[in-house]
Amino acid sequence: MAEMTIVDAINQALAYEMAHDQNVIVLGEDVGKNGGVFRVTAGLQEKFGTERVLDTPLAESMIAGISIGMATQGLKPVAEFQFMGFMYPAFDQIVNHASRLRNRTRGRLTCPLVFRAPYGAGIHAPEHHSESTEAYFAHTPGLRVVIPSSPARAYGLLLAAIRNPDPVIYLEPERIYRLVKQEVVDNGQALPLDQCFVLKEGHDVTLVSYGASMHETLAVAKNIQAEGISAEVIDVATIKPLDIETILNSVEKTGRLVIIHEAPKTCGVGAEIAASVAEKGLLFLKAPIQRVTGYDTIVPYFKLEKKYIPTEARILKAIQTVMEYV
Amino acid sequence: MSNIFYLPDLGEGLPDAEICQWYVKEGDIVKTDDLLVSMETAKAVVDVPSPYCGKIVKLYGQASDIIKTGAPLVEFLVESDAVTSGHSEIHKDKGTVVGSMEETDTIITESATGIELTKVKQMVKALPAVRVLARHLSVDIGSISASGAHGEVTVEDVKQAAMIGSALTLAKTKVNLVKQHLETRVDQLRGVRRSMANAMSQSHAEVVPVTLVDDANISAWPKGTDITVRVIRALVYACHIEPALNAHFDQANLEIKRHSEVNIGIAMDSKDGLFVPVIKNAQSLDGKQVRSYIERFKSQVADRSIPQDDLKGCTIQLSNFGTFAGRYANPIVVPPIVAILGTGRIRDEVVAIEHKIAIHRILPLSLTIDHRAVTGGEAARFLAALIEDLSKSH
Repeated sequence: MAEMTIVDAINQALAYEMAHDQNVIVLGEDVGKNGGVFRVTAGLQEKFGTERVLDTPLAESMIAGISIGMATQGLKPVAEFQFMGFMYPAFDQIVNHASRLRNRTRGRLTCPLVFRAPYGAGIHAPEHHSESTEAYFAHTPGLRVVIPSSPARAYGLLLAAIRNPDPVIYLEPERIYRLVKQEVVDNGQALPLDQCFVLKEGHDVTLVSYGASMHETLAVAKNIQAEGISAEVIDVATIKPLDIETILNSVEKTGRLVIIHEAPKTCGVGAEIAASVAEKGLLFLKAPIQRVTGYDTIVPYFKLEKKYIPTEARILKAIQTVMEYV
Repeated sequence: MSNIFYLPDLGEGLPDAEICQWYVKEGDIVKTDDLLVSMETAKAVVDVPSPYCGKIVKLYGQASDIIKTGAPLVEFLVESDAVTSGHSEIHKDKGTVVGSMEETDTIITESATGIELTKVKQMVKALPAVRVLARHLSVDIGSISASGAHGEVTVEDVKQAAMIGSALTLAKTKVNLVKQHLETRVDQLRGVRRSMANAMSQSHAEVVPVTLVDDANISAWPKGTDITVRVIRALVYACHIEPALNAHFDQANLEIKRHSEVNIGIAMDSKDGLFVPVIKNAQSLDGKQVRSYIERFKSQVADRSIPQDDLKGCTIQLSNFGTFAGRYANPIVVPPIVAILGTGRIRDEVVAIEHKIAIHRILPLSLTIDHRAVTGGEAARFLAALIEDLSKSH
C-alpha cells in the first residue's frame, strides 16, 4: 500500500499485468531503455527484458500496425504514443483495422490491444503536445476510449483495458500526471469499464467531467458547498461506451447539468452527453444544459494556455447560470 | 560574476549535439539572444541563442566536438547577478521531455470506485417549457397532478391549476392599475374556506333565490340600543307571524318541515373564514342572554374553540354585513334552511314624513328566500313584520 501519482500507478499496473500475463508486451518510442519520456515505463525493461519491452523506431503508424498484428497472434500489446498529437499517423491503422478486426473476422479474431498516450494541455509544451481529441476515437465504432482522473482509477482502469478483448484507447491526463497522490493497492484488481464513477453526492446540480478537468470540477464543487449549493460530481471515465444511465439518474435528481472538458466545444464529448440527456431526460431538466469547454481554436502556447483550459471561474459561472432556474 | 551555460535539450530527449560552427569567440561581448553556435542534433541543425548579456570567457569545444546535453557549453562573465531561471533545472530530472509539469505532494483520499448513491428522489416530470409556464402563472408545479402520457405535467394541467387559483384570488389585471404592492398567491382551500366553497356551490346548484329589500326606520331607538339583539328579536317575531320562513326544505322528498324553535345562525367573520354559530331557541331568550351568546360565539370563533354543536341546527340565518359596508345584498340561502336576512349599514337618510322632509336613521334589510319552499307573499309578510318590530322604540 503506497501513495503514488498517476505515473506511478500506470507503471505499477503495467508491471503487475506483465508479471501475471506473459502475453502482455509494452512497446513505443523511448519506453524501454529510457523508461519513457514521462518515466511511466521506468524499470520495466530491466524487469521483463528486451523481448517484452520494445523500443520502436520513430514511426507511429508502424507502432500501431505491429500492435494490431501482435494482437491477432494472441499477444496483448500495450503500445505507447508519446503524445496524443503523434497518434494521427497511426489513425489509419487504428480506425481502419484495429477497430474492425472483430467485425471483419465475424468474431473469430478480436483485437486485445491498448494504445496509451498522454493527452491534454497544461504543461507549457510546444505545438502538437497538448491535444485533446478523444472525440475522434469516441466517434469510431469498435473502439473503447478510457480516460482516468486519479491514480487509483488509472491503475484499475488500465488493468481492465489490458484484459479487455477489444481495442482500448487509454488517454492519460498529462497535466495531472504528478499533481496528486493517492493510496493505490497493487493487488491487480481491475475497475469496471463502461461505467461512470460518482465522486460526490449532491442534489442541486450535476457536474460531469473527465481527465484533468476533474481536478478543477472537484475544487469548484467543494467551494460552492459552502454557499449552500450541493453538487453531484461524476467522472465519466469510459468516454465510449458512455454510461448515460448514471448521468440520467443524477439529472433526474438535480434537474441541472454542467459538462466540463478541455477538448474544443464543437462536436466534443460534451455534445454527445448533452444530446443524450436532452433526448432521454428532457422531462427532468429545469435549466438548459451547460458545456464548459476548451475553445474552438488550436491549443495556445504558454501565455494563453491557462485561459484555454476550463478554469474554476468559468465552471462556477456555468453553475450560477443553471442555478438561476428554480 | 561567472556563469556557465549548460547545453540544453535541443529536441525532445536528445542526449547530445555536435558543434557545427561557432558564431562567437572568447572575449566577445554578446547580448541576450545573440546567436552563439549552431549545433547538429539527431533531428536538425539548431542555432543556440545566448541566455545572457556579457563577455564570452570560455568555449567548451570546437567544431565537430560532441557535447552531452547538460554539459558545459559556454562560460560567461555577466555584469549583473541575474541568472536565467532554466539554468539549474537541467541537471534535475524534470520527469518530462517538454515544458514543465506541476508536481505536488497533495494526497487525495477519494475512493477509486466513487460512492454508492442512495435512492433517487422523485422529481416532477415536465417539459422545460411547461416549467416556465408554471412559473409564469405562479403555480407550484410540484402540487399539480400530472396527466401526461409519460407521467409528466402538461400545459393543460398547469393552466387548470392556475384557473382554480385565480378564481379565488384577485385578478392580476385589475390590480395592476393600482400602484400598490399586492401579493399574488394561490391558497389551497382547506377547512372552513373549503366548506364555504362547497356549500356555496351546492346552494347555487339547488336553491331558487329571491331577494326582497326594504328599510326599517329605527329613529325611535334610544341611544345605546343593542342593534343585533333588536334584530334577533325582530326575526323571532317575524317567524312567529310567518313561520314558513323558519323551516327546512327537503328537495329529495319535497318536504317542508316547519320548526317550533327559532335557531338563528349568526354569520361571523374570522381570519380563517366564515363561521355560523347558532343561537338555539332564540324565541325563549331575553336580550341579555342573546348578547351573552353572541359574545361567547365571538371569542370562540376568534380562537377556533367553538364546539361543533353550536354550529348545527340552524333554522334561519342572519348576516350583519353592514358593520363594515354595504346597504343591500342578496345573501345566499344554504340548504336546508329557506331564508336569510342581511342587515346593511345604518345611515342617516332624508325621508318624507307627512309630506315633510326629515332625516331619520335607516337600517337596510335584504331578505333572501328559497322560492322552492317559500312564496313571495310569505316573504313579504315576513319582511313587513320585521320592519314593524324594528320600528318600535323598544
